[in-house]
Amino acid sequence: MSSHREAPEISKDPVADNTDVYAFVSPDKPDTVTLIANFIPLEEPAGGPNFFEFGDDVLYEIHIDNDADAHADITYQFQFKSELRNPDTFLYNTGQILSLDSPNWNARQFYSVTRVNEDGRSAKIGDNIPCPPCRIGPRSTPNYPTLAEAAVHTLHSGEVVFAGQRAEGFYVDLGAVFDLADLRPFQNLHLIPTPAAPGVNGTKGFNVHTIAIQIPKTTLTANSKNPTNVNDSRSVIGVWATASRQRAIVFGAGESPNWSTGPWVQVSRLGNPLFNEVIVPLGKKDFWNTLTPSHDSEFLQYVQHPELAKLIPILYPGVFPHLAGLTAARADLVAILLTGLPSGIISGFQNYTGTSYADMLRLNMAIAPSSNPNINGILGGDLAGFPNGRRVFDDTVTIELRAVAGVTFPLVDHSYTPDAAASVVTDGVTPADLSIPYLDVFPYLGVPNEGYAHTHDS
Amino acid sequence: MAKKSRLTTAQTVSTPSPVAATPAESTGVLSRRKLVTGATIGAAALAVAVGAFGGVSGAEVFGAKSAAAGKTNLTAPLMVYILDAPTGDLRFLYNAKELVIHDPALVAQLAKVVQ
Repeated sequence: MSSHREAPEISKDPVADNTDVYAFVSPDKPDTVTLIANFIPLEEPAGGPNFFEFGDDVLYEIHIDNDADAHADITYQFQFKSELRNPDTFLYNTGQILSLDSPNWNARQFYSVTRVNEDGRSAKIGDNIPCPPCRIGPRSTPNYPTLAEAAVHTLHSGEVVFAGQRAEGFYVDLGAVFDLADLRPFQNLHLIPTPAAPGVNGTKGFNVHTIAIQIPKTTLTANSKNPTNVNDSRSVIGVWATASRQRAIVFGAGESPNWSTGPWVQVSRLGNPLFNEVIVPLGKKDFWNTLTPSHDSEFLQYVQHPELAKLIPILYPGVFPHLAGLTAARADLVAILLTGLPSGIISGFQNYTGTSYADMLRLNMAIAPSSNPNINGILGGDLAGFPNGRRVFDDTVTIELRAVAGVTFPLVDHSYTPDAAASVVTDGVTPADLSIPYLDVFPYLGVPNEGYAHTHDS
Repeated sequence: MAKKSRLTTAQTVSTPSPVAATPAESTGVLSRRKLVTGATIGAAALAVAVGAFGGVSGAEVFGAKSAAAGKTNLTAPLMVYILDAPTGDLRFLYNAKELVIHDPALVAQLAKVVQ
């Protein structure tokens, strides 16, 4: 949920609200890449009687740029269709749901997958694929992990797909960070101090709706070859996700259904975590959501001089004196978020896509998954982690906090010494604060929190 | 190779109105019959534009006085709207397409319906 309710208009449209995007070399199948796009923020598991679904009138897309021009070369489109088997009951299920074709399951959803190439040619590579049910409780959805596994499908074209409810994998002290950038472990140093305390995961116990696709690397590269050279630009892909609605919706009168018409209009976009959330000002967040990454030069100033970097020394007086004096344009943040890091900055790593400014996750597919992952990614010495793509467990809140606080500026200016606090600042939340663990296999996000169990405070 | 836009974009077709609105139609609220009559003034222009959606003729869409009245090839709802009347643009939404035609006289006539 690094980009949840991040803009005024999308906050009113949860089914089209892109909350997180992940891109990583699959740890158990390193000849493939897994791309994940999540939607519908802060999904309460006890969501009955109408449990959460994707929008039938939303076009969900995952885009891949494989030639470093900030334009999509490959797009996977996902479209959904709900089916109500018995309109004469108020129930989502009339008995136990033990399989994806259970006669007891009333409100179901199916989806199609279409692959669109750079030249506009498209091919539907999957159709009528069933989503799993939402995880209700021990009576309605016993043996849920088995149900969820059955919803993982291998397409004839080689991709593996899943679309449905999962446990929220993004962790953050949501209640504190938007309370004037409070960080509980350091709140004794805040301008409005209270005793220091451990971080509280604000997303604990919530679910999300996930679109996940696992793709052979050779399908993604511009030359259709397996990327093995870290320094080769063709080893790097840019990834982002979008949601679109048709230009007009007409609400039907009486029992007439609603209908949509017109060209698809993009209403949500996400590449790097937290970009629209904390970099783009409120007055431009809705506009940013309508743009493709190739237009992100319009937002360069907000990355070069992030508002958060100015606020941190004010809100934590005396703790960040070096950051307070740092007025130069933040070329380090521009590299991390808008261009990728070129060779020579970090030994053994590059994810550079050229001088075009574009907010995309940049994944160097030639870097193998780490055998001992560090949730702080490259800042923690793990080249397989964020900002080299993004894994589901990467602590992007801590990474970006520390980067904004100045810990990465020496990469571009060796004369700068970060504040000591910059390398330890954190919201205090880690994967240990999740109620459902990640999986070691596709789709890597855990099975959903159960509505009956109410795991928010457990 | 230049990349095609994958999403359909609005096309603009500018066609001048062949006949200006008559004085009788420019005063007061138009009745439905007069509105339909006024619409056929621009039918030639519309036929070109609507045909861009694929085989649907303007006469069939606005077929009040044509032999094809009541029959269309439309397989989905067709929405026509005027976003900014002074521009004289009519916007058509059909499936995933949007078409813009420029017909200030027709827009003026249609606007009278709600004034």
